[in-house]
Amino acid sequence: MHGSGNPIGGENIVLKMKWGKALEEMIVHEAYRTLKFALGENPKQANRFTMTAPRYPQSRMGVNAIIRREFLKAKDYMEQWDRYFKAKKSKKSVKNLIAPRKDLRLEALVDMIRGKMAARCHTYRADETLEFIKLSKEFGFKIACFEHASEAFKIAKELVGENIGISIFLDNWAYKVEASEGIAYNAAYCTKNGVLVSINSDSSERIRRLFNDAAKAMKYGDLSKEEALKLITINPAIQLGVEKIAGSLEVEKHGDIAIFNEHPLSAYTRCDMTIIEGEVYFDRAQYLKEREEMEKKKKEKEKKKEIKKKKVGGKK
Amino acid sequence: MRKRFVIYITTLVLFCASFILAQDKGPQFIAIKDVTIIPVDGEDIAEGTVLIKDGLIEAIGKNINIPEGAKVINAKGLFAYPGMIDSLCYLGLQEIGSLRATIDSRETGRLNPQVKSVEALRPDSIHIPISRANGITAAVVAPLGGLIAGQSGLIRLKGWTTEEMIIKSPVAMHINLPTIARPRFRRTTRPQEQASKQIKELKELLNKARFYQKRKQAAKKNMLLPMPGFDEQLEFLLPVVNGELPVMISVHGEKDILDAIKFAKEEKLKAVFFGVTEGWKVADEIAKSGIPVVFGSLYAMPPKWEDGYDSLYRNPVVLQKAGVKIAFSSQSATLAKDLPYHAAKAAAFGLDKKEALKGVTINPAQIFGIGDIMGSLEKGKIANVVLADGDILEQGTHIKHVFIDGKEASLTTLYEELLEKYKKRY
Repeated sequence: MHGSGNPIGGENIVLKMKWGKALEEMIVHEAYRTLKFALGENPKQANRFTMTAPRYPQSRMGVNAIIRREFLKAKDYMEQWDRYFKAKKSKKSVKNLIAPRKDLRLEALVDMIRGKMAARCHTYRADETLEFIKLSKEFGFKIACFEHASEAFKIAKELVGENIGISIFLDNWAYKVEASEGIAYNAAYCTKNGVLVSINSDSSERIRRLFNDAAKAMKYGDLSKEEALKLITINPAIQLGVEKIAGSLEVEKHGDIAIFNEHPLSAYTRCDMTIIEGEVYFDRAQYLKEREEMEKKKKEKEKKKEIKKKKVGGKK
Repeated sequence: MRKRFVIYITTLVLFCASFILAQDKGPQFIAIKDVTIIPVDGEDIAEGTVLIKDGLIEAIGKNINIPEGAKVINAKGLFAYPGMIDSLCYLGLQEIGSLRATIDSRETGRLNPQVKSVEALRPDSIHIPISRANGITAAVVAPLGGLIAGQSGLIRLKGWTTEEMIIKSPVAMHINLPTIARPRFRRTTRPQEQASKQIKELKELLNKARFYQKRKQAAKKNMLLPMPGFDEQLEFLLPVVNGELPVMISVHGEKDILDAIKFAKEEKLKAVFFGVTEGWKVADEIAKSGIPVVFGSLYAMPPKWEDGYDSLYRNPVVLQKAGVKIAFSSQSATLAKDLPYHAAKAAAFGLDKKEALKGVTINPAQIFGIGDIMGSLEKGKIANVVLADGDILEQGTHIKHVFIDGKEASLTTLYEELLEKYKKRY
């Protein structure tokens, strides 16, 4: 997914963690297309102190105005092409008909308006989340999911009404002002009120222990084990549009399996094996074996070095 | 005149008496009965009783007589643990990460032995009740940055003012040796700074402090000798050179650890190591030195890929097996509540579960010199008791009651306050 520095980021992709494979083999083509949007402190550069010159936008007003401007441009662009095609088709052919200039940026937004792509929007505050829903109605685009949505618990009603899911941190909060009301009950409370919730990591470190975060939903808000596990399995699969191939262990689905030594929601758990499409990508037993061999080799090398040193010393 | 004075005195006495009586209103005894007791440094006790009086554990075990008038808590199905101790955090010093105005954990400059973390402590921090509600009852609040960061304090996670919260301050002087340089985005690696350079600087500083002290003492005895001019840095290093104040040395690299052991030994410092990322490579040497180790947050990536994806997780396992006294820390303010899960992570990678629990209870208490009054459930110790509906190191466990100094502490946090506020919408 694109970063959150700009109101409109770019197109996202869904990957499988097939370490070592070519990129083309990692991309999940079954997932539907999404475009990244970002609201609040990041696009308005609220936490940058080393700025040389302030950039538009500097406020939430500006962020929304930019998104609206781009969609208005896209609508205009659509119209121009429609007129061009109409003119081309019409029997009274116009002489020297010139096609409008192709604009790939606007093409993406046209796809949004035409429903070929949906928005994934980075947002924290409840008010800005609702404003984005308004924008989506203004231009008729779909919202696949809200990212972070720290204050989703304040507007669970609206989210259920619009049938929009959220992809959140379980308890990572207070790293900035807009995240300072992102309570740990968010996941469980929204789930119980009918919002489709998934837990994300947004980090190469937290992704290593996503199951630990999901387990906290049992503490903060009393989700059952099954419900908590769904937060990191079938729920995100639905949000990405890959629920037919991933997210649960079912006949005909892809053979993507993680094997844990204890229940994945136990704090004492450890992943022992990861299988993607039937192929083993991680095997802890194998890893330990290789590590042992490496350590042995290292020791042997050191021994040889010592012997050499002694020999040199002896000559003297 | 005398009459007036007598009236004045009697009213004062009556006023004081009523105040004392009012304070004594609570029950003298609190009895937690039918609870599974996990004392940490002893055998677990099924269906036992914990009796609390005057803030201390009066009795603990099976078949304990519950005195009349005691407040009885029926804790069937619950587990009693000692309150956990966070060995290093920034609670009360950091509020909202991006808001500089709310961050008081780092002073500018390289040598700041004079700064004390507790003097910046905000008792109203939103993060303190959240840690407390997760079973953490005491924490070392430490300063950050520079070569000498300053002095930390040990606080109880309860109280209206800093004075009410302090258990011990200062508890340690914090020294930061270089961390392991990580390659950034596959670009060329930063050159690794060597701790030996910093250690040399520290040695000179400590020597200066000793000399400063000698000159001061000599001048006191002999009026003819000149008194050395006041030196702030040296002044606050005196408890360190005298071995009265422990130093917590943040050290990471394999060779740096060995250098730091030598340094602590030569300077006769009361040392505690922090971080010790590559400790597993020199576990026996650390064990031999007798220096205890506090691990930093395990919510971090291993600094060297060739050491394996789990090098941070197995580090506590190797050190504990080698005989090092280990403790865990959250190294955080916003996620200080996650302390137990760092210990559990090490347990997932091979640390004995009981040892993991010790790393957040009795071990930190012993490391910070309060092992005789805290860190386990034992007769005569301060009644910091946590009642949970399961294993305290599990993320899914609910904490039902927390007693700090024998008094039940509130478990309400900003989490619940906000949730309740917005529940009213529906």
